[in-house]
Amino acid sequence: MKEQKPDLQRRSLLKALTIGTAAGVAVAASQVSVAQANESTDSATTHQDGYRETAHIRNYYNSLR
Amino acid sequence: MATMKFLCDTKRCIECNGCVTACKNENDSALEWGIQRRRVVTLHDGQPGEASISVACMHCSDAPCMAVCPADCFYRTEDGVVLHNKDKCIGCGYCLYACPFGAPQFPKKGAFAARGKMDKCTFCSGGPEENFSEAERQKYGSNRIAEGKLPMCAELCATKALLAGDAEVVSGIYRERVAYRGADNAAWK
Ligand code: SF4
Ligand code: SF4
Ligand code: SF4
Repeated sequence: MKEQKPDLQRRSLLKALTIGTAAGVAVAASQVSVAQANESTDSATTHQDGYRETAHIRNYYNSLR
Repeated sequence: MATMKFLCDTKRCIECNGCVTACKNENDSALEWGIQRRRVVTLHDGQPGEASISVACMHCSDAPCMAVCPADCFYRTEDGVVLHNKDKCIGCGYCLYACPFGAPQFPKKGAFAARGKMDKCTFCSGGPEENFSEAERQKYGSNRIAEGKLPMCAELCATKALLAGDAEVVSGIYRERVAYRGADNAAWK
């Protein structure tokens, strides 16, 4: 019977890939939290829960024309 | 006070289903298996004059769902958004029969074929629970309106076909578009 040896090279490649994506996700997450922080200061100044024309919404409207 | 509305520009919709996917992703925490709050309908598919339109709840000013619900689940927010309370819902399905757009959705699985709690588009503005609470996220999904944003489906529409926001602004933008391209290309022709 042929001995079944795991292909270590393949595994290390996968490992490298997952580390790569994890780092990518971490970077993306940190960017998101920065964006959210900006957004929350935006809404904190207005003290409202309903619709109000924030900078975000104005940018959206401008993108439609 | 602004009234929130959707408007789908059929001359721009390319039936990519991006809005459907964006909604699923944004509100995933609240959506049971098989529930889809938004869908794209295509008329004359593959023929000359083909047109697509993206539909979800239209947040009717005089909402038929609200009128027929025996459990009084529905309410309208200050922004004119029709929301409902899943804790009160008895899953009777009347709202689905009353709605001209087929917006109310029901979970596909359940014991004894019971319908389960109704789910529908919230204009990405959560529900009766406290804003940004875990309960709100689990039952109704995101609350982008409270975040100072607009619905995910519309904000992500690549061709800017699906418009959402203050009815006056949105209809003004649509009017500008129609004036630019001429009445022959207004909507369905
Ligand atoms: S569920 Fe249907 S009837 Fe009710 S507000 Fe939405 S579109 Fe109108
Ligand atoms: S299914 Fe729920 S929301 Fe719809 S009419 Fe019945 S009780 Fe009301
Ligand atoms: S407004 Fe929000 S809940 Fe409604 S269809 Fe768009 S993404 Fe879905």
